[in-house]
Amino acid sequence: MKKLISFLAVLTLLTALWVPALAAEPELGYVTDAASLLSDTEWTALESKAESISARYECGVYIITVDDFTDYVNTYDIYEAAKAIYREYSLGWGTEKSGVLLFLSLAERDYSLIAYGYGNTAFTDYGKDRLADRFLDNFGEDDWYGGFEDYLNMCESMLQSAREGRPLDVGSAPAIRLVGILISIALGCIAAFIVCCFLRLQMRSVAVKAEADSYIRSDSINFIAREDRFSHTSQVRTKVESSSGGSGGGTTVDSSGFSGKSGKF
Amino acid sequence: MPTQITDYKCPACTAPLRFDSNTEMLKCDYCGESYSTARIEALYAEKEKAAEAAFSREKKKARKKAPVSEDEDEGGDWDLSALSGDWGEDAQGMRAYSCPSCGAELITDQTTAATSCPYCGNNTIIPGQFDGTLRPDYIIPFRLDKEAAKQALKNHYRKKIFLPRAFSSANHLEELKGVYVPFWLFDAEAEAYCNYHATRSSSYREGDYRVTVTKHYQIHRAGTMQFEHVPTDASTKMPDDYMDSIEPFDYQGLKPFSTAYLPGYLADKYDVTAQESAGRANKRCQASAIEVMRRDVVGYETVSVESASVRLHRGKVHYALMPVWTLRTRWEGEDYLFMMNGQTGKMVGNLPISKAKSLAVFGGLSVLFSALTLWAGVGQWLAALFMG
Repeated sequence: MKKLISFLAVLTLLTALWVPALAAEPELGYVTDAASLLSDTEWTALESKAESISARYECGVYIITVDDFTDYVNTYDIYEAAKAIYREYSLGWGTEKSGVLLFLSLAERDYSLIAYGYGNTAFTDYGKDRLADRFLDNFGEDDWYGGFEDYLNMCESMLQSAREGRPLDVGSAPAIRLVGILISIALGCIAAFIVCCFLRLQMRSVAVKAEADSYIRSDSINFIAREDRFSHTSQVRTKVESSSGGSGGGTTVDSSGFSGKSGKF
Repeated sequence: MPTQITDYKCPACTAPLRFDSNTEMLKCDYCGESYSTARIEALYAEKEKAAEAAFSREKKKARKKAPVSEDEDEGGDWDLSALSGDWGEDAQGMRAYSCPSCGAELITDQTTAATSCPYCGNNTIIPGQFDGTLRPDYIIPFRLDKEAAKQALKNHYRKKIFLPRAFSSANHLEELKGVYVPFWLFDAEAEAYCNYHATRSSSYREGDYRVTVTKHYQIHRAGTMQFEHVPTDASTKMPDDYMDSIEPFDYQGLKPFSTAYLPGYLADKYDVTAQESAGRANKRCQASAIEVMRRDVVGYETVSVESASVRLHRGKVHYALMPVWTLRTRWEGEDYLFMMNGQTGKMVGNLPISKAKSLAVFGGLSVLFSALTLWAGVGQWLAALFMG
């Protein structure tokens, strides 16, 4: 049964991608295991769970595994391959085609994690990093089912957070969140201190005057010399630090509407 | 020894006159008549002439009479040995006068020029204080009365969040005086020569580097300006910082001095000479001259003074009396002094700060601002920037 499903999955993928004209409306499930990494039971459990999460949050949660992604698409970039499959199979929920896809290619142990539509909101750049961290350790040990289960659990948690209006983002990390709160409190105290200093100044209205501006006759100011002479030029060169390490949060969406990341496992 | 003093009395009913700040006339509170200062001055000038003539006639008569014998009381003299000898050094700073209304002896310090009798309330002027070179050139009459001063003090308390709640209600006015304060008004022409260092910067990116190019300029400015009537108070009784703080006075209101403006108010003559006050006026003029030159240096991102010299050509010095209301309140055993410009109504005076209110306001604002920055995500953004 499992082998039959895998065979059909491979066939469907090949047909759809290499012969697009013949695959007008190809359909895939939520879990497509063309690389035969899962048992029937595991596949059924994952498919059921993915379908349930997708329906509840109206955002498709997909898993596709292949032996070698280059067999399916005309590109050597797994990120582009994942995007191509997502588009070709019309993955995604609703008219927005919202969804998140974990795409694994066993040949070079490549993976890509992409999001589209509402998926871009729920799965921020930071969120995708944390999501990848969650399953990569399993895949490193060839624990496929454990990795996929972690992926689905985390997707569910992230979709729930997004529904509550606070998608998992940079600020959601416990340490960063704590530091952020402390910085907010410190900023609040500094602002309050400045306002209090201003209010205290209002209580003091007595001071010695150091100038006599009010007593200059308005028509008496007469400039007898005005000279602005250029002296020299100085130059300072400062190395611009790469900003790739830092992130202000949010999701980086490319021109095709996808966001994502890829790597090795 | 009592000295002769004068007061202005109503020509109609002989009650004391006082200067009314609202009408700028001398007013009789008893019969309600008002007189212009010029009219009263002319009337009193005539009286003075008549009094001088009568005095010289009486003097001549007295010379013709035989000297009167000394007291022939047989009871003997009083033993005055138990009394202190005299005022000692204190007497040098004091003067005694007879109130022309009730005859009481008034003891004042030597700078008092106008006062009121504590026994009958009669407004009296001590003319010798403003004679000859001591006579002020100008006076700005009071335009605001006692009630305006009280109201201004109430307004001064308003919108002061840190003011102890009990201060404005529990404290009470210990003293409220309208005083003509002696001021020196200095005229001067300043010649300023200033050198500044200024910069303009621009930056652009070159590969992995940000290049900032700064152009440096040497700026020279020289100019002249005239200062007119720079005031410095000429009384040691008045704190300099208070007198500076109630500035400026509106010199449109300057009038030639006349004692007719004084009844109803206290007045002091100067006890700080023009030479002693000149230093303060000079410093203020110099600072302003440098600042005027500095304001002319525009179009630069940074400007710093390299050197500045100001030559002051000293002009005339005028002596003027300025109207000041002094208000003294007491709260929790401490005196609080307030002063109001009697012409413009500008009120100054430091107020006490409630520690409890300060802490409450600081705490409340801290919570509010922290919540706002938290809500806006500023803290998270900064944390992510430094830690992400």
